[in-house]
Amino acid sequence: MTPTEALTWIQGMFAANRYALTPHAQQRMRSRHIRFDDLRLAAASATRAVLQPANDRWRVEGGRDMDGDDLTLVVEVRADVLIITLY
Amino acid sequence: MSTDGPLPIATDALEACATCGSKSLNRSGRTEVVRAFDVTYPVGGGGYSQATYTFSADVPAAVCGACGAAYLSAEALAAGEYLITRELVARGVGGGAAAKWLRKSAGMTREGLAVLLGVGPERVAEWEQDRELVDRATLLILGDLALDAVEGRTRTLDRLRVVDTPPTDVVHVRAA
Repeated sequence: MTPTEALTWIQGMFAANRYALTPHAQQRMRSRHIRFDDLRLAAASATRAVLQPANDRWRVEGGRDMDGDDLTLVVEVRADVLIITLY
Repeated sequence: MSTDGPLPIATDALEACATCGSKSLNRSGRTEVVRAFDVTYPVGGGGYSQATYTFSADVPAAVCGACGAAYLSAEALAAGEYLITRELVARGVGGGAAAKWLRKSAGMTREGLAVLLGVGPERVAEWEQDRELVDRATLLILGDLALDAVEGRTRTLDRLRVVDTPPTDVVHVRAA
């Protein structure tokens, strides 16, 4: 999967709510008061996906939250679900 | 992935725990969406005091039987946020963090809210960063905007917009 294909795939999965949040991601959301709509907007406005070869996860970068602040997502792509691990 | 018809909740598609790799996932489990809100409020003698309100919403989750890690779906997250918004409004919690939560629940940017309330965007930032206390009237409007949005109404938004655009012509009204 190329980075462009990955970004398109990931954005489609976010738009369809096909993701699961890990406990670590939930903790980060709690401490930073990140909302459901922040995730949705950050994914939709992301401009690139970068593969992290060490753990096979994608950094989804360039996206912005509801306040226009940068919000980077780190996701693991599984067959029918994205696992969101970190922000 | 098919997009025909309603999609199953994403956590149902998890085959194994992403933390420990165990396949013993309980898809009927529960977890909590927790958010804490610091509130600064005035006390006698011109001083201020602080309190923290913590809200915990119980929502469905996939829970690993081996390590206990709980995975939250988008739907469960949204449901948890809805419950927290409702409780924040019902309990009249003030303060910057709550104001920011309610604004986001209303789906509004700082600039959008500022225009609606007839204040500068810096004023909204000051409220949300606890540099200025949010007055009761603003808190009430924010609560109504947030509840309307999460419950699919636009009543408060419509009324605020009307206030900003008075009729320019004669308006005839008649009682039934």
